[in-house]
Amino acid sequence: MTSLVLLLLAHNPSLVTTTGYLDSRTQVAETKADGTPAVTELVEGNVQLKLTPHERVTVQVDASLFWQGAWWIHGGDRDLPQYRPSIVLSEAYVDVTPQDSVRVLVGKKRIVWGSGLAFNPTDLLNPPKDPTDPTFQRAGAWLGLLEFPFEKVTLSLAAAGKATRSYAGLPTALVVVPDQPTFEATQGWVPDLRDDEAHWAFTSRLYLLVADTDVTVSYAYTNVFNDAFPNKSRAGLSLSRTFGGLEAHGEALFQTGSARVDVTRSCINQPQVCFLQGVPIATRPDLDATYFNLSALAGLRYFFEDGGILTGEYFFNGDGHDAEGFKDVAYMVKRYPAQVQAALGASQDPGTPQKFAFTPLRRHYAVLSYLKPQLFDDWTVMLSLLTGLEDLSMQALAQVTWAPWEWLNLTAAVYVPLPGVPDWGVTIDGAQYGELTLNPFGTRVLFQARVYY
Amino acid sequence: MTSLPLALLAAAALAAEPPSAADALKAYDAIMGPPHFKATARMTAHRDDGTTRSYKMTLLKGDGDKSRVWFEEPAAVRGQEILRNGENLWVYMPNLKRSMRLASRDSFQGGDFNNADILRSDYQLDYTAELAEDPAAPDAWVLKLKAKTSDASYDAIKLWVAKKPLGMPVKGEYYTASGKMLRSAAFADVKDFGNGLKRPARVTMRNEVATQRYSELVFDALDVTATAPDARFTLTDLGR
Repeated sequence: MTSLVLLLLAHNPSLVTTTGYLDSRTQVAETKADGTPAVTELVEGNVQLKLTPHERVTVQVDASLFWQGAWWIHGGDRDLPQYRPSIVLSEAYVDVTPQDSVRVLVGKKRIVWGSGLAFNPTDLLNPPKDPTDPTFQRAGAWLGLLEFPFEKVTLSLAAAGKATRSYAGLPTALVVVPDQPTFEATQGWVPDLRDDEAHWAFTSRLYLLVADTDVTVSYAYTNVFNDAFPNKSRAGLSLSRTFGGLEAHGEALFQTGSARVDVTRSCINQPQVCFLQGVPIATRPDLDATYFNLSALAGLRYFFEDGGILTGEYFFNGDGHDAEGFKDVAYMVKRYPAQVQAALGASQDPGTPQKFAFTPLRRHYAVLSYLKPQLFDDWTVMLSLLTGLEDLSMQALAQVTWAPWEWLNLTAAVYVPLPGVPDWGVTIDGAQYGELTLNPFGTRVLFQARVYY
Repeated sequence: MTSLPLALLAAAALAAEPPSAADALKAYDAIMGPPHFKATARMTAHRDDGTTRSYKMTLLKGDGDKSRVWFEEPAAVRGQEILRNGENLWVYMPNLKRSMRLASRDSFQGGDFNNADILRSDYQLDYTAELAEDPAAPDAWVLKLKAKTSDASYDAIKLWVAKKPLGMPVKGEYYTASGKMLRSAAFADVKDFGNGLKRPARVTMRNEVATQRYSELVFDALDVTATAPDARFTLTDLGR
């Protein structure tokens, strides 16, 4: 098969298109937790390759090689596995169209059917993204997709298998975890994630263009794929429409139960005792619950005449904690981050390294962002504010990008966490925290240079 | 022998008879927006500081009000696509791996054209027309267009089209509802693209608000025999 493709390409090299970039990201941060580096450097070499050996066949690859370094580590210099060099294969797939209205795709692909920008509650397949800058997540899931596209109707069916073990970002096992533990697990450096489950997902959607509105109705059945739910059915709905210069969108996921993690309160002050007594520090009590649960997003985007875009989104996280539950989790996260990580297991593929990673713990969030391109021709300004509405803690982002040439972008960004209303947050060891200040980093400054080719 | 001069006089009288505004607009649409075509073009944006940004693209127009654009250069936007289906407009962003809705009035790649200028040329659908004459341009009719809906790309347009061949655009002025001119266009370099299509190969759009700015759209090739199935104009097909 490979030799056939190469033969076809050798006869017509114009069928190959390549693009990509070289990116350098330097971050200087105020650190607040043990094992957090004050200075990091991330260099990314990205290549996007598109082969079209036949008018009905495309092969696409989007891969990045990362070199990372971390210095001035809070609590003393040491090796930090998450800052090692890695390869991220964001996408790699073969896409075949045997007939105009039949599409078959096999490989790794990022499929997003929901209309939300900062969050996609109906996305059950892909690695998480940065809500303050969603453009940074490129990675998808290993899947097979069968699609029947028509002008105003599309039916899609996808089956995905989780990469259950990877080395340097490349998968070595899909769906089931190999019997042998990893070397790191045998040494106790990382949790042993072996289980007897088949980690897979089936998703389907019906897309309709009705009354100039994008309508997507979806159904998913997952078994410990990107969350802890075994054998879970879920339904989704997504809408999007423009009204002149205003775009309105909404996205909702309907399910029963919750994958929320609750902390065992009696373990907060003495987790070692719980460990010795075999009492779990954290549990998911509502995995099999039958109550109705909803996660939903509603948003507006306004396009200004000068090219500026103002976006506002409200996100309701049905898996979020109430005030007491949040306090328990916050205590554990701040006091015993390693134990929490070990109790929960690090099971989700992080995909592309993000500038800001966020797992919502509470229920109500707002994201407001403003993008103004072409300021003095070559400058773009972006302001973004992620707010936890229950304590008004915030993650503010101000970013300026200068494009002196078409092939070069230079960016400076500052991330500022704001604690919100003290009485609405949590006090731990005399310090006040809001949800958005639980992050091990304080204020961060980031410089980025990206060269396109 | 008197019949020939009489016939010539009659023909001259007919030639002087103004066409209906609808016919003139229909002729304009036929020239600028054939039913289906595939084209390669380059848009160059001339900015305030005198520098330029250039975008190379392929355009595909399908039956009905469907069109699609693929950006090939510069590298920073390579892989971006825009799809239009009726009033609906989406952009595919390769870094997001997904499509998002756009507004018709948005600027096309930050230049002085808006999305509808490039992706929609069926003015008969969006505007009512009135025909007038301009003493300063005796060889052209003036079409005064008013938007039928708020979704139209401009609230009003004044379009100068040649009397012969009827509908060949000469220049245009594009206004807000308050009568403020936003942009003006000059249509030049009429070229025979083959298969019976002669049209301006170069459109220069001047920004009348930031008057140092203008953008040029130059068509290198335009094939009116190219057709594409409806499947090429679906959201699913974006990014392929």
